[in-house]
Amino acid sequence: MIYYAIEVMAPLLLAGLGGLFAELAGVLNIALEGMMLAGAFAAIVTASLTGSILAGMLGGLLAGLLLAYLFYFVGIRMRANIFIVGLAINLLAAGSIPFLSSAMYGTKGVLRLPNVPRMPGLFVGMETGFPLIDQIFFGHSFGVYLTVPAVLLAGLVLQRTPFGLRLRSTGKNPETLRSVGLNPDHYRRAALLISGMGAGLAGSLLALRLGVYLPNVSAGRGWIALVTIYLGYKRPVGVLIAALCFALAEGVSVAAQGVLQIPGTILLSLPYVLTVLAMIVYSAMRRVGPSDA
Amino acid sequence: MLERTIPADEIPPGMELRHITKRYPENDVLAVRDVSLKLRSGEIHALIGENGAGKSTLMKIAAGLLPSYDGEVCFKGAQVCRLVQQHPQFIPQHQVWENLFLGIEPRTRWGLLDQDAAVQSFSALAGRYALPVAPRMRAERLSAAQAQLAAILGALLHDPDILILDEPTAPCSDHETALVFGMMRSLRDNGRAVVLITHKLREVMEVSDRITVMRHGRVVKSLLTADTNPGELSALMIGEDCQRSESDRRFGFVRREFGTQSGSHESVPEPVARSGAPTPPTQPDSPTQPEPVFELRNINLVRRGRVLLERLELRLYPGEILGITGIRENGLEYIEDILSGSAEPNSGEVLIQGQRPSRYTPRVFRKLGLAYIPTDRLIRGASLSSSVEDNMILLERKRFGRAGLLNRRASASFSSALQQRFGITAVLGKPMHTLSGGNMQKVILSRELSQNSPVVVFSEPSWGLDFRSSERVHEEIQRLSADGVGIVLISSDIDEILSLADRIMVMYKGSFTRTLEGNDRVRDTIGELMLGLEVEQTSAAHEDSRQSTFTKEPRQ
Repeated sequence: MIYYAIEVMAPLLLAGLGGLFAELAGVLNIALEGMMLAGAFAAIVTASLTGSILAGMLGGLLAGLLLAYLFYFVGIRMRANIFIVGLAINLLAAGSIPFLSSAMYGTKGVLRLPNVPRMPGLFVGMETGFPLIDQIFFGHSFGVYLTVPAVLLAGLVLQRTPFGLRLRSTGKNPETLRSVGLNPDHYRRAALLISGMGAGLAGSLLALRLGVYLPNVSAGRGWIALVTIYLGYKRPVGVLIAALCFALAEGVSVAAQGVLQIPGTILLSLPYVLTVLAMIVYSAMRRVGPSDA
Repeated sequence: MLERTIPADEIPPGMELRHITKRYPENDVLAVRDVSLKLRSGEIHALIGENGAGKSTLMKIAAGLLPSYDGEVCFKGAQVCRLVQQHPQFIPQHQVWENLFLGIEPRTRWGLLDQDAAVQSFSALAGRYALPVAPRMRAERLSAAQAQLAAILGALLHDPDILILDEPTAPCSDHETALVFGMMRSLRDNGRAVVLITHKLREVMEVSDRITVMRHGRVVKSLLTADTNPGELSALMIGEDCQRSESDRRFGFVRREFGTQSGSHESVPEPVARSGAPTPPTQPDSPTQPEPVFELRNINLVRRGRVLLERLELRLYPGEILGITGIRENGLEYIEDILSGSAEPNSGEVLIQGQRPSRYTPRVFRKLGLAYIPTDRLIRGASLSSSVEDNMILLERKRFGRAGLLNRRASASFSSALQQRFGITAVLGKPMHTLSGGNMQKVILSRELSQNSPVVVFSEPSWGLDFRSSERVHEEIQRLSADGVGIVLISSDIDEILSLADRIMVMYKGSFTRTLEGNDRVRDTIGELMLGLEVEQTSAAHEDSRQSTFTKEPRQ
């Protein structure tokens, strides 16, 4: 169960960290879901064409990047409404993938392509014998081991670089940036592209772990990733913790299916119920919390 | 339009503006008309004039912040010119240094943000100019005065050859003002050019070397500070065309202010004669004593464990102007909230015309007969994106409503009547934010006074207004008082309080220290009370002065 939760956490966290950059730059990237989906599809296609996991991940990343650039171009450059653009990109991904899939491979359903390698488990054979530690640290797929450096890197970039300071300033007050001769749009673009890469990579992990592309493989995880940003108080470590909580909820619900006499559909909705509860708790905490201290 | 040129050697160090003209196309205002000005190095140059005289626009052009204008800005080579604007815009959640080093961040060898270097160079600068600002404080925790000092330090980080300060002392107490002046002098002595945009003649006389007076976008006169006096400056600022009485009064004030400095002054004379005002109720037990229209009884306000207001008692009678003053952060902003119904006291009572409000909201207070002109015009006083007319009829929705729709013709005639009565220069259909500060205040006044409320609370009514606009507001206050309206005037401007108020209550650390009436209304006494000198002598004296406050108040 814990092993599964850690596996689930990785894509959630990568998407959440990407979304965090956009959020801090003052652009709510509600297209994370669509970007993840595109990343998943592109990852399977590239992996199949090249026979390489890394190339597959790169493909997913580029797909996310492409949609993010579209988001930037229409939403920031052309000043269209951000929410409409985000929704449009989600719909674009959801609509165009079945189309591409059927045009290229003749199916709109499960896409099982030849030549897709399996995601290798890392650090297999290093188990200590303590189940908890083993489940958390060893034998996970490659992508999981990207997450810790990703959290550290995000923290470093956001808090300790001039770029991060400017990006955060853009989100808080773009006029200040303009008044010192910087262009807020540059930082919004950078933030969106980073979020696209995070979401695309997250999608590629989802698909490559399974080795197939399933329709709607992201299953709302892009939206949950958005929630982790807020629950994590807009900090990388916070996003990590929030993503872990959701992943555990999903792990519990999957594990409980086999044990409890509760219908599976109800159990599987647990992470989503948790999302709603978490947002309620979050807003309640904001109200009494140290928001204006 | 000619762009900045790098001119020949004939120009002395500093900056020269030649034939600058600026028209704002949005509202077709000619803000600056053919102005030529030299800003010399090693000199403090004061730029004075009423609101809207074009000072700020001209200096924005000098600092390169306005791209389109006619004329030339000439300076030598790579000179740096920085303008510190009136309301510094900081990112509240970021620390001071993060705000100020944005765009000029020091980096470590690996390209990371070098916090320590930033904080150190900021502290060094703050030390050199003796401006106490903590670099790691979050900007939202800065007081307005500290924010101003921080903004000045932000400009100094660029080591400017020309530093322009737009009303730098507006949020400052005397102490901070002295610090700013010290900084200006030290810059001047280092051969920099300093420009001070201001309204305050006292400051001009104290700190500047040269003065340029602007009016209606033109330079009226440039002169040396040593060769002039406040009276002359005041005349130049207001112009010959304005009413004699107005300027006379103003001169009187200014002279008195300078009297203080030379030490020859003992007390401020009676306020200017007020036509038809009833005598203020100074004899508590006189049989004709009317009922108070507004009363505070033992008001206490505690927030987050801090006592903000303590044991406040206040009675306001019809036709009376009750002044409340004090130094910033001694409770003036909280008493404004209490008086207007914006905050609920933890204990105590508010009575408006003898009635207790059912809830503490401005709406209920209004219904009971209170009008309120807030300090914060932009947020509390007006809806900036709505039209002027919509702002005027806010309180009269019902009157102009018919079957849920607004009767536009009636509301238009109502608002244009108000416009005439208050002399508002504005297009009624244009949004509020296009108005100047003075006109905005008049719109708020016209709306609040259209209700003929028996109690009016003014808070800092002339804050940010030029002479003429604040004169108009003062006249309106006196007219209301003559009509028998009870007025509470909250103001940190001693001159305003002295010239208008019948009784003066001074706040110190959340309490009223003493009420001054009649001949007690002396600038020096008020100053001492504001600073808490009298209160802090002994705790016994503290109790005494408090007692006397209460016994002086008439009791029924």
